Amino acid sequence: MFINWKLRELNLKIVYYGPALSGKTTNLQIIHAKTNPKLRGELVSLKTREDRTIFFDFLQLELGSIKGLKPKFNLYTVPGQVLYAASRKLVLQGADGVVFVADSQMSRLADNIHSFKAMHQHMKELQLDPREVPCVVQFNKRDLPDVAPVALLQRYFAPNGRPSFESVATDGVGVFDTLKAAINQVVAQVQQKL
Amino acid sequence: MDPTEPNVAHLLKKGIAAAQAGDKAQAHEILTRVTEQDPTQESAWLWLAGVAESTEDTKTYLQTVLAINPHNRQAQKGLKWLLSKTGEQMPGAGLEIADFSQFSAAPNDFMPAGELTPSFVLTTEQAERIDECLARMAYESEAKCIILADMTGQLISERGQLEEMHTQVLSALAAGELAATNEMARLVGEKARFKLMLHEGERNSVYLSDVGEQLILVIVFQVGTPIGLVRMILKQAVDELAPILVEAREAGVSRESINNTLDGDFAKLLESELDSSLEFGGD
Ligand SMILES: Nc1nc2c(ncn2[C@@H]2O[C@H](COP(=O)(O)OP(=O)(O)OP(=O)(O)O)[C@@H](O)[C@H]2O)c(=O)[nH]1
Ligand SMILES: [Mg+2]
Repeated sequence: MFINWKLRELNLKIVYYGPALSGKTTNLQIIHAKTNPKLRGELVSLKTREDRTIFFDFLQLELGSIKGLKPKFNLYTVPGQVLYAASRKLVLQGADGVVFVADSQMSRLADNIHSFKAMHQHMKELQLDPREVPCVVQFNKRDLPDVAPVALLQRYFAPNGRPSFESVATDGVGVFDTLKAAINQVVAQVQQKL
Repeated sequence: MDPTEPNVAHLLKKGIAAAQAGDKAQAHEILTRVTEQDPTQESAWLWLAGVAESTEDTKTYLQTVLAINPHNRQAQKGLKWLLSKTGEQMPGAGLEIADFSQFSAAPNDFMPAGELTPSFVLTTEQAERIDECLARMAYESEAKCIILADMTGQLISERGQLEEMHTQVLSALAAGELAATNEMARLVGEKARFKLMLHEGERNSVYLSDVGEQLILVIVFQVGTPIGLVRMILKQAVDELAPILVEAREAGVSRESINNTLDGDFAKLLESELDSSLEFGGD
């Protein structure tokens, strides 16, 4: 979090984390495509020729001023591929909140769990308490045939009423609900910390 | 077990003790709390399987153990037995063939604790001093653009001729690049970070430098500008900026004035602002 009192700006960083190909980049693409161009910057993607994220995607959203303070949200995605563990941790640095994008397919359950575990590990290495970092979970790819029941996924990734959303990111379903929940959580946490 | 979480470790012990004592309800409650706090606790899931109320639950718990660690013998055996009883095939081929050995040996496990990136607040006066410093630098070095950002890529101040949105993106990229370069430095056994980076183009060049531990300066200047000059001005700026930022961390804007702005009202207003302005052209 960074506040510039002269410009009355509140800067917050939200990181989309999750296993390879779960749809993190797609979330940012949809947000970019469907947000008023006046409120968003360019979508920058550091990716391979096959469109796999190699370092991060970045998109900034800027809202109108609220009570004299202008909130800006810096959205990042991490690369999900196993190879890029070090980059994931770098991107996670300084995050004010995370969106965990899980791939709902039953066959990806183990990958999701491992990614979730690695995320907690990274947070600890960055001296963040995983229980205190605001986190919203998205169960993506609900359109595919072999999906795990939501109740099961919630049990793993969203116990204790942590906000979770079903989505079909490619069609934009659930993308903004997830984002809004993440933003609300992050702001609530900032208030609590102050 | 992870020693950094005494709470979870303690709970786990208690849960296992309850299970061993035959108090299934108590064990179930405690172990569930363990998995809520840390869903990756393999042994908590395994013990939960032992105290589960239904076969269906036992199955789910065992599958979870295997998802976390496909080599867990007890879970493998338990699940096989359970499935033979119900006449099912071993499900979730993905759970079995996935090879997680690479995860446990991932280099990130051995990384030293990363630096904390504390949040900070600049007062109007501090922000003005920073802006002045950047303005002077821009003037003296004839730079096209100068950006001060923090290590996470958040833009703090900027001067020059670039559009705002470009400078935001530049900060994010610069932070990514410095982070990656510093990681490379560490991997090749450098104790110090690489301090400066220069990208020379045909018309414009970009200079990156860290300011103290937490901040980054990005200077974009025309090719032909003497690099020695840029370097010298950069050094002066670093000396000038560092103390302002230390001050900003120690004593920023009064908590009270921030609290007055960032209150429950703010959250409500933000929510309605999000509802009304996001998802433009959505369907
Ligand atoms: N069927 C379906 N496909 C999806 C959905 N969301 C994303 N995809 C597809 O899944 C693939 C991967 O999506 P990305 O957004 O690139 O995934 P990622 O998480 O950024 O992947 P990495 O960058 O490698 O970590 C693409 O082909 C997307 O079109 C969804 O909800 N349903
Ligand atoms: Mg991606």
